[in-house]
Amino acid sequence: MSLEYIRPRNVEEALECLLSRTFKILAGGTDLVIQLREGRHKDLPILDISRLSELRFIREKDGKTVIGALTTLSDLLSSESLRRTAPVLLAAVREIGSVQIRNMGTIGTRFCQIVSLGRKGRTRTMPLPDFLLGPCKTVLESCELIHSVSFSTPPVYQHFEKLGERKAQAISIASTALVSGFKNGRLKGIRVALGSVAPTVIRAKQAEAFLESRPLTPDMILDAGEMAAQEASPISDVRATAAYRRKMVMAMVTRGLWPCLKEVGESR
Amino acid sequence: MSEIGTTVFRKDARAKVTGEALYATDLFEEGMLHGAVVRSPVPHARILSIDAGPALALPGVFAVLTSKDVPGKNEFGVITRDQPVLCNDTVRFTGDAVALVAAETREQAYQGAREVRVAYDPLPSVFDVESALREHAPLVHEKGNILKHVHLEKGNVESGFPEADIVLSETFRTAPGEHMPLETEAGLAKVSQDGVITIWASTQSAYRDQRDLAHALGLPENRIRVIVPHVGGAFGRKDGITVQIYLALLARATGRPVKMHCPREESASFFPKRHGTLLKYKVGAKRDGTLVAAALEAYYDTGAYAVFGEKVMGAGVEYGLGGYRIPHTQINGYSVYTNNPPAGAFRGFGMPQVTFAWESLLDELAYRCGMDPLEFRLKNSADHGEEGPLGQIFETSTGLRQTLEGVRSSPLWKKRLDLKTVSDPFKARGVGVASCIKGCGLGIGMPDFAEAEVQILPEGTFVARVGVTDMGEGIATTFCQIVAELLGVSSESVECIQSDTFLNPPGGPTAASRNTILTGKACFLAAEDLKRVLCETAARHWGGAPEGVVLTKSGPRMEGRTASFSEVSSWMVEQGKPPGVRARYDMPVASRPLGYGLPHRIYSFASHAALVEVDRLTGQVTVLEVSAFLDCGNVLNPQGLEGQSEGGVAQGIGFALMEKNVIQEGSVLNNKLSTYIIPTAPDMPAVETSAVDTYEEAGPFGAKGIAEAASGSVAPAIFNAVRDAVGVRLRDLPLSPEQLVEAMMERHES
Repeated sequence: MSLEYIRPRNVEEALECLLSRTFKILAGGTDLVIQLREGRHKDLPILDISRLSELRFIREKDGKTVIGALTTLSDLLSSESLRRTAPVLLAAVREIGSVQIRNMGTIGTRFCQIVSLGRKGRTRTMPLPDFLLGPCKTVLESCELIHSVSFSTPPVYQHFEKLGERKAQAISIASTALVSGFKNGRLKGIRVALGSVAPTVIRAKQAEAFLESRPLTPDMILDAGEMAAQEASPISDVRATAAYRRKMVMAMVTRGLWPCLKEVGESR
Repeated sequence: MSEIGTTVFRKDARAKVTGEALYATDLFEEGMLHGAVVRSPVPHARILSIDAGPALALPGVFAVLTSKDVPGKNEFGVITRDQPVLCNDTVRFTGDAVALVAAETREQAYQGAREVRVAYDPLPSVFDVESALREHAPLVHEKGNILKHVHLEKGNVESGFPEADIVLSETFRTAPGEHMPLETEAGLAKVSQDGVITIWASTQSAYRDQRDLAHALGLPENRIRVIVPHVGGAFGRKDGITVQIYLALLARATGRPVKMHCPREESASFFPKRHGTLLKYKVGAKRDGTLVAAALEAYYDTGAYAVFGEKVMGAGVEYGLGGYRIPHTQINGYSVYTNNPPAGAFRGFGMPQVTFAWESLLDELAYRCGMDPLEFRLKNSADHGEEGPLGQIFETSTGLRQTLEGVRSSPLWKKRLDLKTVSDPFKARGVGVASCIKGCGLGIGMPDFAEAEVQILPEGTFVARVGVTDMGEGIATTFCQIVAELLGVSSESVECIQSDTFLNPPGGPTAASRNTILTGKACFLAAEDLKRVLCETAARHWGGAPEGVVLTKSGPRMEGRTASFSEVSSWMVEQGKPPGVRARYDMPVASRPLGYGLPHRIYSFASHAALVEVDRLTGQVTVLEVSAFLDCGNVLNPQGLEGQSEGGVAQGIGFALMEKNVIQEGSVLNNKLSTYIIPTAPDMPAVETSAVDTYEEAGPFGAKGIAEAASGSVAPAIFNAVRDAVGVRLRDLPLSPEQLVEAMMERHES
């Protein structure tokens, strides 16, 4: 097997290459190398951007965290500032693959709210939901690279749970991330994100709105779990049925919110 | 005794850790070609035509072979030779081999295989045993879909069941499973100038392979040489022909060395799996917990070909009612053909499936009798000299009771009520116990012996030549320990040379928990004989009586005279003696045959206790602790035992909670390590392993095999612990969290 391979020296050069032809981009290679082994992308040249250190950084500025697209998952795990501000992100990252995969895999677009894209001479920035179109589909054009992802420091209560078929190196059946603040016995700024139960990661917005609408009670948690489950649109595959996935959204949202009962009590 | 019962440095450790050890996948020969198999994309069809033209036109493709190019008998199989090497007119499962391709590179070979054009005329298919047994079901083979039916009876169940106060009937199912050895099927073949075909293969059964190769190639066995390099795991998967015949055919046809190394997806889709089963049980007991009668109908899905099918089902029959005293029993076992991928040997050989079901059912029966499940088992377990459930006599070491007593005295069992307490409202914990029985050896009617040759080398060190293969479990080190112990030397001065059908004596397969007893005892006998020869040689050299010679670590000694082993070796040459001696040991046979190759004479037993945590919200089960009590006779190598035990627990957890081939219309959907789920380190609990105090007279230094029993009762112990935790019992294996969540909700609502 032979393939054409180009390794640009900097982002400028990479973007120039992308303007001239279509490439498959090698960042961490954790997906691409498997696809190449399966015989896909036979005719496409490879653009290896993995060593472009300009895109590998974690910065904190004015209550915002900005992470370069080529920052590896292991980089995230060893970041002091993320450990302080966004443990929910690290909890999720810890669930991805193995140490070896995390050493190679990059943050790409995976978890953050705002995505910056660059093409030669121009950049655009958009919220993550606008960026994600479906499974493995984004608005990224063939002449663009992801520059970075950014997010505002999330509120204090953070919870992440992933359900897999075993305890490590498991593709997710379903996952849930929750962040919230507390004020006067209520949840404030609650965000409920659901993974693997819709074509893209989604937020359970009805459940979020309901949870902020009145002081938190155990019954409300169960109702919110039910709502979130209805907001999901899961499929059946070799790992689990759609029905089980839906149930698991309720289960995980319930578990994630349960400790909030104590926290809201203290905020009264 | 200095060698026996101690952990010695493993012979293969350094080579494996440094990467020096060569596996079949590492082999390389100048000018070698690569082989690939053209496989059927449909589960059942007539072959209308095969066109090799497009493949042969590709760059690098050297040859395409079809059934016409099989010079001998186009068939193989361990007991029933019903599998064509290359299909001639019919394919019977998705993946059935139709043609072979040899090319300059592996990529070209697989590309070539994709370009061989085969036209098929589809035939109706069956994918489960119930459909296969229906009237007018499509026939997988002309002789019918039942490969074998076994019927055994003891006492009279008709009068037995009415004597029982409590009778339970339950149906259980177990899914087909994948061995997933680290090293997939692989090998290399080369034809030498004298016409001998040498096959280096990752196999458990070099000598049987030699026979099957000769049969398919139409050559005498002395033209076929099988050599086994280091093996990267097998678990029954490599007990027989995988790629060996393909390699030999391609090497012979092309005149060049040929290598094959199956990609993971091919390995996990098309090679023999663990049998899926359907198990219908009925059991009855007196109110005081005394077992009265039991009946089992066991259906084993052997897929499209027999491989070991009738024997695996036979083992299910033999172990399906455990090692208990039951006066009235009736067993019907069926090995059934379907158009699924073939099923074959898998650690436990049909036993783990029935053990899961039977030990689950017994547990339930104990609850119904209001008895502690452990005391219930102890009340019914058969001892040495007593009759087992088939009517066999436990006439050798019988440690079932000791393994159960071991559990009773374990911290895990004693503290089980405290261990159930958990503060998380969404979690529940429970403790379960289960036992199993597994015979050592192949059973009556199959030649079951091993030979070993122990030699002294000119340097004064020793070599044990054996006909079996260390698959990674460490048996070669144990053979060295046995030889060293008898000669009074350190195991460091003994090497073990394994399977080579031209240089080593035959040993049969590395399978059936048989090697510690058989090859181990052959090493024992050969070393004992060599010791006699060494003493005689020294005595003759020094002019004395052999009885006066003592062997020390450095060599023989007699009345103040000493010599090194190296010197004795040269005296043996002077005295015209061969440097080595051979011995053979035959597996002792049960004194009361029951037919169908049953029963065994020597059994190993095990009992496992497991502590689990159930997530009430998700139905996920975590195994927190396992205590294993193993009846393996005298322990030769404690580290070897721990390895077998912990590996057995890992495989048992996978069997119980994760592992399942998802097969749809005969196609395996989860054929990758990312989709076929096996346990990884975080899934492993703490494991406490103890050997109970038994001594097997037949084995070397009182030992017997434990490889399979060490895994057999793990799954039911886990299911029983789940029952203890949440009051719900599932009957399908592996445990489905979805089913468990539903069952917990149902129980909650009622």
